[in-house]
Amino acid sequence: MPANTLYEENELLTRIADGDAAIYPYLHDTYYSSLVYFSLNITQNQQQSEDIAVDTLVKLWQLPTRFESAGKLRGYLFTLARNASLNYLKHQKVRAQSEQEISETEVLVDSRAEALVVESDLMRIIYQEIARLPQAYREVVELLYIEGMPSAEAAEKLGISMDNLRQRKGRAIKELKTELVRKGLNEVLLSLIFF
Amino acid sequence: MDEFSNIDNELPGLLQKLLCGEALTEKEWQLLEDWKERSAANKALYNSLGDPAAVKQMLSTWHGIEKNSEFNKQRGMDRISELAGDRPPIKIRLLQRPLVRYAAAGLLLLGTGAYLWQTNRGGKEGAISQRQAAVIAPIAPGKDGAVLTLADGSTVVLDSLGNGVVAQQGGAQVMLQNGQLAYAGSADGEVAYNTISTPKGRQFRLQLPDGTRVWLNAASSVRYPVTFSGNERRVQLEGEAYFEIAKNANMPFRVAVGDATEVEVLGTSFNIKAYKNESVIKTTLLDGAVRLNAYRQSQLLAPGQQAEVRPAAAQLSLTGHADLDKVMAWKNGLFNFDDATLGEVMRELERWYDIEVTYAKGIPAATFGGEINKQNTLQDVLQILEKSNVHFRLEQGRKLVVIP
Repeated sequence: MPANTLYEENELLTRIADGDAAIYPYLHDTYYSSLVYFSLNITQNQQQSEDIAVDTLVKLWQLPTRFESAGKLRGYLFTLARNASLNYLKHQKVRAQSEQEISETEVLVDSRAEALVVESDLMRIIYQEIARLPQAYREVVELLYIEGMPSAEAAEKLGISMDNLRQRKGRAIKELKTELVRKGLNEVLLSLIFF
Repeated sequence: MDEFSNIDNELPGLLQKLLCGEALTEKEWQLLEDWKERSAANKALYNSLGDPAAVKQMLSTWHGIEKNSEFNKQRGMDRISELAGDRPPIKIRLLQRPLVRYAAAGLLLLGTGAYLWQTNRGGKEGAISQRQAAVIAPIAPGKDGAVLTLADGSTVVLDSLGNGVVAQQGGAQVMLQNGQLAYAGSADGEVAYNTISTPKGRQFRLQLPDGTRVWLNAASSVRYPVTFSGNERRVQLEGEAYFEIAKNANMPFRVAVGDATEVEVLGTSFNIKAYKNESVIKTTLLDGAVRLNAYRQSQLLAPGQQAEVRPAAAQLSLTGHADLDKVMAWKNGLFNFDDATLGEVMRELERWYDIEVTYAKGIPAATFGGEINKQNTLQDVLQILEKSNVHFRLEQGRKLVVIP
């Protein structure tokens, strides 16, 4: 979820340099999910990636730094997350990767870095669109589309009839702008008709 | 790692426009093309955006991350608080509704501006830590509700019932009207007793078969016959209740409290506070006349007077004129903590918020003053109390620890 407060870049950077704890929620809302998403792509372990994201943000308070720009700040955060994620792989005994494999992973990660950051930012935008829907419609999108729950089960969970579910889905599709999500929802609708 | 710093901020937005089927400008297309050609991974991402299943998978991953976001936000904030010092910073929340409201009856707050003060202690600023404030959901105030125990021992929970007949007792009907219990008709034959009890966190109003009105505070019960017969009307009280007795000169009304105290009513309204975990039984007369009988002593009360019975000392004493606002605050939807000790305040909170209070290091000697709306959440009330230099820690399972 985005923070309600928007900060001027300069104010943001000053407050980070000052170690102002009040800025933490904003930074979390802005970077946390992207950092987890990015790290998860490397570690394949969500719990681990959540820890890495939190560690990364907290690091700003452990080593207060004045960043030149918001871009530099982002670069710093993702670099920390990248290193911690690769470190995790190195210490993972189960996978017992060879040095060579690790360095290959590093290269692979770096070659995908930009794509991954863009991908996570795009997901944030699409997800925010869903999150902004009225609750009744949002629930339908989350259950049927994102979580892929069978429609009968979703109707039961929401305590509504199949007809009602179909109506809500129709409304959700009307409200959404992102075509791919609408399409995805529409496909779920088809299966409903045969129920 | 400048590859992260130099990522164009516009790209995700551009891709989103594309996904929404919006037209891109020439310049935007160019930007997109450049990005696509920059790496194989970028191009692969671009291609996968045309695949609904792939996008769905990405969104599903994001959804799973967002689900734990708030939890981890709190973790991060806790860690920063730890870095900053031993104690997390005070977080004063802005409340949507006023913390303190004047009672409808026009009760006045003592003091100007400071609605709550502490008389005998100074000290450092108190704080409910952010962690506790956030991890434990707001504890809602009590509300109307009670359990009715019928003559045969069966029970009816009155919290969730709508208006209508709740039960039949002999020839009498037990009805619920707008959250108030009332009796109609009269039962004949053997005398049947009903009991209304409120758990912690509930209060209730009822009208006895003779028309007497009873306001039952939290954690209290009153036992009465479904039909009053004979030469007196006799009920049994535990906890706290306010009575408005229906006049009947031929049948005096008697409230039995505990083993040895009885209030004989001569047509009147009065409040009895007789919780077992309070050391005194307080009877306060608002109007009319009552006679208190306890331990072979007897005391007649005039309006505005209060008498105390101390079971431990087997003693009955007149305490003179009572602060009626304070006595009746609970019925008017307020806590009145004037001259209350911390122990008294905590016992009130226990009953209304259904919590257990423990003391980390004994009960701090503090007295309070002022009134607080009973519709506040527990956390709101604690925040007010903390201004008087008492500190609290809320733990899971409705446990409140008082720290000095």
